[in-house]
Amino acid sequence: MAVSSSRSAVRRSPAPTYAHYRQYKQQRVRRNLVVWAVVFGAVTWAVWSSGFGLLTLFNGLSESYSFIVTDALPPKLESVPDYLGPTLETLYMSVVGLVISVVISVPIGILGARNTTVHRVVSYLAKSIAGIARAAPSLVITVFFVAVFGVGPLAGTLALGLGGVGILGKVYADAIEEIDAAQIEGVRSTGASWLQILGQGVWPQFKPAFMTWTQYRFERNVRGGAVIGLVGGGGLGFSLISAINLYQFRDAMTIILMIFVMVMVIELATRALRRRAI
Amino acid sequence: MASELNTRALQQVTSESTTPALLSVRNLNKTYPDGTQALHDVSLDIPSGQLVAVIGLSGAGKSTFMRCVNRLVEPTSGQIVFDGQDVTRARRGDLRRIRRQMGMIFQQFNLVQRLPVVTNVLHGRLGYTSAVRGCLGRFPQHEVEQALEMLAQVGLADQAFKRCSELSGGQMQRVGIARAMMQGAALILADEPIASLDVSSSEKVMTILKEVATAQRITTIVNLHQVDFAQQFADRVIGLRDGSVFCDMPTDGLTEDLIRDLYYGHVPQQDEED
Amino acid sequence: MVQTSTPAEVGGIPTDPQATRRRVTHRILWGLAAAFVVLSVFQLGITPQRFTDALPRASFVWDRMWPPAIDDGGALSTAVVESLQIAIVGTAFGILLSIPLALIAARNVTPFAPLSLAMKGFAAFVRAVPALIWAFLFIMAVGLGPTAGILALAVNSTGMLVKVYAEALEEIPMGPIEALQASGASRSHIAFQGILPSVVRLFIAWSVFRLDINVRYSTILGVVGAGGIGWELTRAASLSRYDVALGITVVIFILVMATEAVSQWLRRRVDDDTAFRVEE
Repeated sequence: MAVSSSRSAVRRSPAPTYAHYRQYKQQRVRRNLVVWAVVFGAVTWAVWSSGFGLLTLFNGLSESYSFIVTDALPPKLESVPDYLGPTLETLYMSVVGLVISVVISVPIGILGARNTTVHRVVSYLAKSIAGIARAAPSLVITVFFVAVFGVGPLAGTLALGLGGVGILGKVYADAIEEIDAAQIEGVRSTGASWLQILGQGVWPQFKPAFMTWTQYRFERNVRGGAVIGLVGGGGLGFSLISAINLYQFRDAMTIILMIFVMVMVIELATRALRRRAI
Repeated sequence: MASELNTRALQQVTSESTTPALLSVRNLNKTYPDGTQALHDVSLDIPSGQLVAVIGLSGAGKSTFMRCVNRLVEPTSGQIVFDGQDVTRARRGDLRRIRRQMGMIFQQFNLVQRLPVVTNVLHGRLGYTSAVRGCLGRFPQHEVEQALEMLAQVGLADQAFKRCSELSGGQMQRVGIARAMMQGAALILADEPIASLDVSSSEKVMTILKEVATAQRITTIVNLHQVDFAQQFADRVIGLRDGSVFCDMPTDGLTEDLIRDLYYGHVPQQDEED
Repeated sequence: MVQTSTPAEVGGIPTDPQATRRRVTHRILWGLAAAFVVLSVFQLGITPQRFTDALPRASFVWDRMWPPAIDDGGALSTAVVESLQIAIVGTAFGILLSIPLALIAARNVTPFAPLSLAMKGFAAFVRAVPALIWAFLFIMAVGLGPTAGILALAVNSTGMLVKVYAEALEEIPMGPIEALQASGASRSHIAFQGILPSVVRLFIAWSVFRLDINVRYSTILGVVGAGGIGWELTRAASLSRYDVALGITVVIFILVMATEAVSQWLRRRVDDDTAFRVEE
């Protein structure tokens, strides 16, 4: 140790000694201690003040299990045809909501991306719009649309559409910003206009990300569309809340299973289509 | 030649000879479950202090041979004696004790990327550490100091508290060497240590390995596929072809003809295993 | 649209029959998609008239929305606290349930291979049912209130966490394990020094990410009666107090953004240890 510390005066950076090692270890421990203190503090506070413990968890799960087995099973398969209409309605909502999101998000993406925007301020504004839309859960948006358009699928569709702008606007802008600048330079050097640059230089590179994220959002819409009816947005969610209000738990279970099947089928179908179409 | 010795002769060598072989391999065979015969009757003697290069095409059995020595790969038959201990018959506890006397260096460095450099070097002492201390990563002061000294020897003193993921490939391999040296091993097994490195890093790594072998008299076996590096650094070259010892000689005995034979002297198999 | 020309195209005219066929299916699919959009618009009854009819209603709502207001500060803060409790407890129990299940689900750790597949299927099912539907299920079983919300988030988190934890386990780098084995380390050494450091970071990252998601959910669970601030929101809306509804929405915004900031701080703190420098 003595040797290495006397030698260190000559070196550019001092040779680390055991003291440094201890210091390093202690620093790590201190750092982690703060994090774990925060985490454990928060969890103990929440568990203690909510009175929700392991016992509540297992009681709740076993109660739910016996409830499902006795009151909600077997699902009423004979009422499946009654809910095909709402299922389709959910799909319609997802599709139209997606179109609305894309139509709004593409300009937001183009104007938000630093490399294709018309002005820095415009880019900032476009990104802020997406940021606000992202922070608002779509169910909250639905509450306001229901207030304006009344209960029904229109409110739900618009809420899905607006909710999608938050995500799609951001990822479109990000994807466009990652585009290879040299290829745009190439198109620009031919004297192309702004629109021509977008069409010939930007779109071909943007297309894969665009397809992936749009597909992702469609899958999210199908899930969201099933839920949004719970607050009056139409579709399967609305049938579900009606069934529950009438204590028709086996109908409710049927609807829940139909939501599950619909989500799975849509995911498989979009994946198959994507392989084929692109 | 060494391969002509039988088992009894070996025992005489290890017990009576003035310079006993540190590692003796007799009739080593390895057949994988899929039927590939990776090693075919390999017999070798490696005395203390040699830097031995094992060369040959990929798929010739170099890597399998090395992993049989510390039984990361279970040999099918044959005998390996290391420093008077029968490796092939060792049980779990004994095997751990044997393994800690053999340091190993890997093509992909095999460091724990998330941990700091110095901890990775200290991992070389895990074979000597109790369960609790090892699990918690608590190493005694003299081992920490030794680890820092090892890092200084491979020129990485100032990187000690960086995460391994922040190092370059050449630096990572030097950490790997420091970890192997940390074991205080009598034998170092280096499996393609420079195959993932550029030329200048390769030379640095090989120079360090050479220094370790000569200055500290640690026997070193290096798998290489670059013959030029073998010729530049090794005392002795063993050529493996199709799982058998094709040639075994001091480095200056290696001729162009031999090399051509070793690498191109057979019809290449279409479905050669990796 | 831009088509990149392939060698099979001569002057933009495709000569390869396979490419032609692909192009035709391409067009048919896009045509069908467009037709489905039009059909959807009709089926949903979306007409310009609906929008013009809603204009007076919209201006009514808009007028009552401003300025945003807090009606009952005490009740609202209680609701905010309840939302946070639901999110934290739901996440904590979700993690607690997920770790043992992920050990079963990971291909390389599972004690019994068919069990791994079954566990992954179970997780996929839990994920496919939206969190709010879970909340409903638990409300039906245990009644209205935060308990249903916590159960819903714990279970829904399990669906995601089991999957990502198992994937993290399956991607454990084998190299360091081999190296520690070769140096004579024992099994427990390898588990703690070789495996844990690589896995822990991913576990933490995903858990914190899930906390973000759960805070979002906890703000809307109340909409269906599973406790938290969402309940205040629906109540305000049903009383046509749109100024209060907007005020609550702003509070939800702040809550979501604040947790994101906190979780980012946590993640950086755990992740970053480059700050140490050797000084005399």
